Formats: sequence, C-alpha cells, structure tokens
Amino acid sequence: MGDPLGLRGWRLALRHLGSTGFGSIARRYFAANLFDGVLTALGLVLGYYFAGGASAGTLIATALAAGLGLGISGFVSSLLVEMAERHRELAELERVMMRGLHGTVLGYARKLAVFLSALANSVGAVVGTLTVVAPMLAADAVGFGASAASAVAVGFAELLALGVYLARTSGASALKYAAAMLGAGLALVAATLLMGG
Amino acid sequence: MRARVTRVVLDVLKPRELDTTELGRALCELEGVEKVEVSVVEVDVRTETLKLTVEGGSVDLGAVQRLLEEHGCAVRSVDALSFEKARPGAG
Repeated sequence: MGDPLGLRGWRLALRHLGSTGFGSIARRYFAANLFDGVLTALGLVLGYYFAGGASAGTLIATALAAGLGLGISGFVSSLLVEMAERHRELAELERVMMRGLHGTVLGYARKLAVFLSALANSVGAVVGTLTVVAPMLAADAVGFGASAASAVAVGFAELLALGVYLARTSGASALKYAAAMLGAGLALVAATLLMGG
Repeated sequence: MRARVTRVVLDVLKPRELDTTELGRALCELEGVEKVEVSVVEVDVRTETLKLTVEGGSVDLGAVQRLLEEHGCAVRSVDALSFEKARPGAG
C-alpha cells in the first residue's frame, strides 16, 4: 500500500488522467465555484457600497478573505466528496477485476483526478471573487463609486460569459443560460437593495 | 545459449478507465519490445478484455506482466509464445 510506484506512478498516472473523466468533473467544479465566487464578491461590493462603505482596502481585504474561505471550503468539500465517491467506485471495480487496485497506476490516476478536481473547485471560487473586486484597486484613481460600479460590471460580464460557456458545453441555448446567470445577479442586486440599499 | 522470446500473446482484463493507447505506449517503452498490438475482444461496463501481442528482439515476459499488473490490469493467460535461437554475435 502507500506509494509503491513512487514518482514513476504519478508520472504514468498523468498519462491516464484524461480517461478518468477528470476533465469534465474539473470543468463542472470550476464553473460552479466560479459562479459562487462571482456572486459572493458581487454581494460584498453591493452590500458594502449601499451600507455607506467607502474604503477600497477594506472591501478588497474582505473579498480576499471571503474568496479564500470559499476556495478552502470548495477544496475540502470536493476532496472529501470525490474521495468517498471514487473509493466506492474503486471497490466495485476491484470486485469485478478480482484484484486490488490501490497502488496501481489506475489508483494513482484516480487520486490525481480527485486532487486536481478539488483544486479546480477551489481555484474557481478564488478567481471568481478576485476578478470581481480587482477594479477596486483603481479606487484611488477613479473614485470609490466608479470602481465599485466597474466591479459590478465585471461581475455581470463574468456571469454572462459563464452562461454562454455552459450553454456551449451543453449544446443548449446560450440565451437561456445567460439569462439564468444574469437573473441570479439581478436577484442579488434586488435583495441587497431590499435589505437596506 | 538461451533462446529469446520474440512474441508473446496475452489475454488481459483491463479497467475501462485505463487508457488503452497509453498502456500500449508504456509496453512499447519496455526494453526489448519493438511492437505492440492491442485487440479489444470484449467490452463490459467497467472492463475490457484485450488480446495483447508484444513483439521484439528479446521480450521479457516478466517485465510485460509486471507492467500490466502495475497499471491495474489482470493477466488472465499467456496464450502464445514465440522463441528464437540467439545467434552468436547477434544482440
């Protein structure tokens, strides 16, 4: 058990990564958590702005912490979920193959797929959050209001792009997906306004 | 002088998740192997049965079996073997 093939095992596993279904899982995780990250950051910007906040530094620091929180949460949750799922699948495959598969190249490839899927999940959240608040870095030059408006615009642009991307991968209507994504963003704006904006 | 194994035919059970092309490539990278042929004999939900033909100037059957086992395959049987007498002066 453990690491019988060492570095060679990981190197060989890389070659088989594509056939583990890792690509589609990682894409799904990345897209889902990018959405989470964008909406969280949008909520932060809108909430902070409507609450009368005017410090770009505070907003960026808060968004950074929120993004990291989402990233860590995404990493750990998908790591545990995928590990449990893949462990069950491997046990089933071992029964069919009538042999143990831990410590084989297949076992390494599955572990690698789990880790990289979790990483994609985590990166999606961090990227989603940070890209939305990135315009706040220009607050000193263009003013807090203008940079907050840019941040919201970037957030909506990301939601639109994500909608189009998801529609493209599923072959469905881009309009439908984009509308759903933008609808989520607008619902957030409405909720923030209702809460005291 | 010992005769060399120049061709091995194996009946192998392979998890479908394992990339057949990469498995063939890995076999081809073994010392003494020059050609690998893979035929898919049967496809199941999670597994595939392969007929693997490995050819070369000097095929190490043990190394071939080890590599397949390491990858997660199960070698069910060795179906055919070809030998060649090593000629003096030949590699």
